[in-house]
Amino acid sequence: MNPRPAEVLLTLLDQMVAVPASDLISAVRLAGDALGASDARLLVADYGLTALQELGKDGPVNVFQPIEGTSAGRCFARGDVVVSGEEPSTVWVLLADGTERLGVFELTHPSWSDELQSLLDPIVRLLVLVLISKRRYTDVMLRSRRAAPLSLAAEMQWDLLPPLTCSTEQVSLSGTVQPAYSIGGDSFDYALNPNRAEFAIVDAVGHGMGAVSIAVVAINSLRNARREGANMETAYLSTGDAISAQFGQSNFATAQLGSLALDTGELTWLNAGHPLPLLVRNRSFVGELQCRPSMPMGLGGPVTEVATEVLQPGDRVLFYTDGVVESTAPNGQEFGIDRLADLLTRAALDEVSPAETVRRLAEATVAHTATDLRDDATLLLVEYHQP
Amino acid sequence: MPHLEIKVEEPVGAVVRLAAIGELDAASAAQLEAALDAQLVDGRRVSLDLSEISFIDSSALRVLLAAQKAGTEAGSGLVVSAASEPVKRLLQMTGLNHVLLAG
Repeated sequence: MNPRPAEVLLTLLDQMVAVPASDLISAVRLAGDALGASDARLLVADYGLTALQELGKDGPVNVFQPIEGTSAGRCFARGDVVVSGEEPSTVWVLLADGTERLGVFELTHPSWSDELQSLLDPIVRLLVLVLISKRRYTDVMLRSRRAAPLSLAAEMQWDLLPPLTCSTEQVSLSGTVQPAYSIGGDSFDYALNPNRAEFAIVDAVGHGMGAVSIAVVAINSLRNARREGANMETAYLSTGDAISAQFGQSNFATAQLGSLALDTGELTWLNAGHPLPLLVRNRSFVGELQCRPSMPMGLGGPVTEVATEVLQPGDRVLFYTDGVVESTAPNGQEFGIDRLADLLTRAALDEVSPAETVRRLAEATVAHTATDLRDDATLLLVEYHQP
Repeated sequence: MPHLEIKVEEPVGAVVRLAAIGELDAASAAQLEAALDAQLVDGRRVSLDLSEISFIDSSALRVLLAAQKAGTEAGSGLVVSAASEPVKRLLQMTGLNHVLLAG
C-alpha cells in the first residue's frame, strides 16, 4: 500500500471537501479509492431502523438489506468491522459520529488485508466529518432513508427531533419514535448542558397533523424554557399555557420532564400522565420509578410532585409512551410492561449499546402488532455512566 | 373503523345515563362527542358508563374533558359513573381520575 498515509489522507480530504453537497456518493467513492477498493457504497438506515439501503446519486438505490440477519446489519448493530470473502472481499464499516450512526461504509476490495486497518480508521473518520458537514445542505441523505413515503406529520416530527442518540463519558441518551413513517403526536428532546442532561418525552393528544402541531408547540416551548434557564416546574407550566392558548378546547400533551445531575447521578423528574419509567440496575430489572402524576400539559394544573432518584453508575432508565406497552397482537394480547422490562434487561445482559437497545425495543413493539401500531410509540433510554 | 355503540337511557329527572360499548380512539371519539353534545343541554347531567370499553386513547380523553367543560359552562355536568380497566388505567396515569370519575 501507499507508504505515506499522511499524504493519502491530505489528498483525500482536499478531494472530498471539494465535492458538492448534492454529490455525497462521490465523497464515499473517493474514500473507497484511497483504500484501493474497486467499489464503495454508503448504506443508510431507514427511518424505521429496520433496513439499510444504498445511497444513490439522487436518493436510495432500491436495494434493501434488513438489519437483522445480514452482515451489513451486524456491522450497523454492533459496530464491528465485518469482512466476507477473499479476492474480492466485501467489507462493512460503521460510520458513526460519536454514537450517532450515519450508516455503513460498504467496500468491494480486490485484496483486503488487516494491514489496511490502520489506514481505514482515519479515512472513515474523515468521511464521517465530510458527510456531517455536507448532509445538512442536501435532501439526498434524507431521501435515502425512506423505505416508504413519509407523511407530512412525520416529516415535521423527524425535523423536530434531536440526533437520535448521544453519548459522553458521563451519560448517554437514545430515543426513537414509531411508526416511523406516520408518527403523529409523540416526540422527545434532550440537551447536554453543563453538568446536566435535560430531557423530555411528549405525547400530544389526537393523531396526524392536529397532534403534531401540539407536539411542535410543546417541544419548542420546553426548549424555550430550558434555554431561558427556567426550572422544570416553570417549563411544565409555561408549556401548558402555550398549548391551551394556541389550541384550547381541552387539547393537551402528556409528558415527562427530567434532569440528570452528572456529578451526583441525581435524577429529578416530573410525570404529566405517562407510564412510569423502568429502572435497570446491575443488569437486572429493579422496577418502576414512582412519581404522582401532574395533569397533562394544557389542562391547567399545578405540579403534583417532582420526584428524585439517585442513579448509580451503569443504571439505565427507560422512559416510554403508552403506545409501546399497548401495542396489541392479532390475538388481542398487549405488549405489556413485563415484556418491555424483559427485553430491556436482556439488552443490558448482552451489553448492547443504548442506541441499539432502543432500536431493538422499537422493532419488537412494531413486530408485536403484526400490522400497524394503533398509537404512537416512543422510547427514550437514559444511561448514567459515571460522575 | 373501530366499533363503538352508545346507548342512551330515558332521562330520570335531570340525569341521563349513557353507556359506551366498544373501542374509543381517534376515529370513534367523534361519535362519543356528538352523543355527549346532544345530551349536555338544558342543565341536564350526564352519567357516562364506560365499563364496557375495551380500548381508550387520549383522543377520547379530550372529548370527555371538553364535554365536561362545555357542560359546566352551560350549567350541565358530566361524570364517568363506571370505568373498565383500560379506562381506569388511563385516568390514573394522567391524574384525571379525580376530575372525571364519580365518587
